[in-house]
Amino acid sequence: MSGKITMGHGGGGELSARLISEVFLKAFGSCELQANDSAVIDLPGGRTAVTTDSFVISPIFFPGGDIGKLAFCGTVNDLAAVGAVPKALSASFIIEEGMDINELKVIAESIGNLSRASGIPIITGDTKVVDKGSGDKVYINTTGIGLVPQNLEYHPNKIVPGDSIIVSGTIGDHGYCITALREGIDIRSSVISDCQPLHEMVSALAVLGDKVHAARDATRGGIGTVLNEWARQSGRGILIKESSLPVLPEVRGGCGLLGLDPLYLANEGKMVFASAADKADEALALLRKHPAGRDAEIIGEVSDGKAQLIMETEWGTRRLVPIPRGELLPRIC
Amino acid sequence: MNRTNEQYYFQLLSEKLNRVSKIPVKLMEVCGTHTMAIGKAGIRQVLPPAIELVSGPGCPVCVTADGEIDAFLDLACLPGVIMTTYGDMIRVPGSKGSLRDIKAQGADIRVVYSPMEALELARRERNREIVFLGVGFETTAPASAHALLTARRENIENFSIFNLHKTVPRALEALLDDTSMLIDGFILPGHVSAIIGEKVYSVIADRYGVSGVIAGFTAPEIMAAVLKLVLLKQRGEPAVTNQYSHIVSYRGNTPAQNMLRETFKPCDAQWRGLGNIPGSGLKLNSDYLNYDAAVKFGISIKETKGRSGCRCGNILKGLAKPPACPLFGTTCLPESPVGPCMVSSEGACAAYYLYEGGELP
Repeated sequence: MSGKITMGHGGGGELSARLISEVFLKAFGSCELQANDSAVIDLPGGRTAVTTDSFVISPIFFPGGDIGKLAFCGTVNDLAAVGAVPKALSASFIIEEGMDINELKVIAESIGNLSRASGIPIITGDTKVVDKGSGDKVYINTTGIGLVPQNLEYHPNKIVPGDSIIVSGTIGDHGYCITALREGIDIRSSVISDCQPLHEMVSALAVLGDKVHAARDATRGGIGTVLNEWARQSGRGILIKESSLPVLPEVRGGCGLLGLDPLYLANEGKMVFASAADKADEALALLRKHPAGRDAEIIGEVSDGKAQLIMETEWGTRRLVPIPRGELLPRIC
Repeated sequence: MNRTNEQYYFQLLSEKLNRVSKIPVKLMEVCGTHTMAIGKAGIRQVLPPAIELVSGPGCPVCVTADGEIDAFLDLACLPGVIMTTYGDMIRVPGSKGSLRDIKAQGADIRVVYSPMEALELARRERNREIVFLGVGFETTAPASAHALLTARRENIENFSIFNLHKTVPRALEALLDDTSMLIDGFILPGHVSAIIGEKVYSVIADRYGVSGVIAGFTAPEIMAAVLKLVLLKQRGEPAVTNQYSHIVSYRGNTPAQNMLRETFKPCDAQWRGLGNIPGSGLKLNSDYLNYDAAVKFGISIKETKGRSGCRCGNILKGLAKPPACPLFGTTCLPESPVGPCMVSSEGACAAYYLYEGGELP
């Protein structure tokens, strides 16, 4: 890999994967890599999950949340995706010179409110200020630790043929909400971001023990990317049904207009699960009992076919769902 | 029609098509949006074996000539220039990389959804030169015309268009003039037709004896067009019909046509893969030359020879399918495209690679 970093390297698709494998893993060594939302390590105190994430969203305020809420939920959800009970978070801020302190207060308060409501403390942090023009208002990094119950091990390499694929609610809400806000689009949208912590909803599935095989927070790249990664990581085929995908009508219509696909739009409050088929209905019922999972659906199943993601279309045909390439772009006509 | 009815209708259409299909029929979908819709809906799987769908030159990104690509890349590198573009163009490779590559090297490139957004940028950034990359057919050209009319009315001097707009009807005739082409019917572009109307296509049936159906973009609409074209071919009764009449009128969108006439006039245009086609382009009217970025910045389009190995020409003419290209899926991939047909979300090669490249169970 050579040349310059382009926006495509940050899109979560093929280029991002190559950046990670050819620059970072090559330099860091990949033997300890767990390729999951959080890494789990055995410490004297128990099985400990660790994850870190940086948030650079623009605009920093959006319907349904702000960059602070996003930074809290994103890291909590990455811990939840390995079945961990989140214990504490760090929060670091890179602030651009000239930023309004009142805006910063609002962002800090959304993190504080979520922390108090969920009982997950912010225990350390950092602030740096950079010259005007060297950043875009504020970037936040959060790191989280949690404890994983002994009997749980959510990882895509546990996925086996026959597993059911479950999504915890409507897909693409966050990505659509942010796209519609973008300058120049002029879509009046009532869709709000789904940004929310999911650790309680995920912990409702702990009673199913090792019958839940994998979970992932379907953020950047959407469920289309998550399921492609799972196919690749598990070496199994995944078949989803278009007619089972929960999509808000406004998101479906707006995506048609903008040339976007809800399968690839980011979510900030949706989890994808692979569950043993005989426990799928039970898992679905448990998810639906929780407010964050009330629109959960079984959307597909794992096959022993080639490691790729296939969709049965609403027309009864089948097609590949490719891994997205580069950043998502509007179409020309 | 609700979704369930549409699914039932689609099933009925494919059953009927399989029942009536008797002879080999080769159909071309002209428009890139149709190409993508066909791939996404998996339509080829339900077609009778005698029916072949090939993609035409109707993806504006794909038919942008190599010399044009290099010219707008040069323009985007000029100091003081902000190049604004529809998103599809940002990854199109020229001989010195793509807009995305030169953006990473410091050029100021902004993705916009419409030229009016570029004009708004020009109002805000008076000390910069805002250039809009005018690519597209009759669907996007009226938006460029609207921006030109507005810029002139408001006397906005730091806005210009690098105009590469092309028009569809003459390109279809050029395809049909090419005797090597053996197309039995066209699925005609719904969006383009909404602007230019139905009547301009009559020449296809009258002079060339080939049928055309103006169609929408849902799976049942495309299947209905295929069925109609197969029946017209089998009966030997070439005709142009409009199955998108709730959107497309006989004369088209007259206000949009008037805006185009006010700002542009027809000219010859260079199409990637197809060469020079008389009367298939638009150039700015003399009243608007100060909004022509090529004139303003002295940029000329040089002839370049095509990249070696890339078979875009035959693919855009429907003579070859993407997998027949030696670069397809090897050196030419969506993340590192050699030709624009692999870049665009509506390109034939991208549609093939993304949706039909796997082994479907």
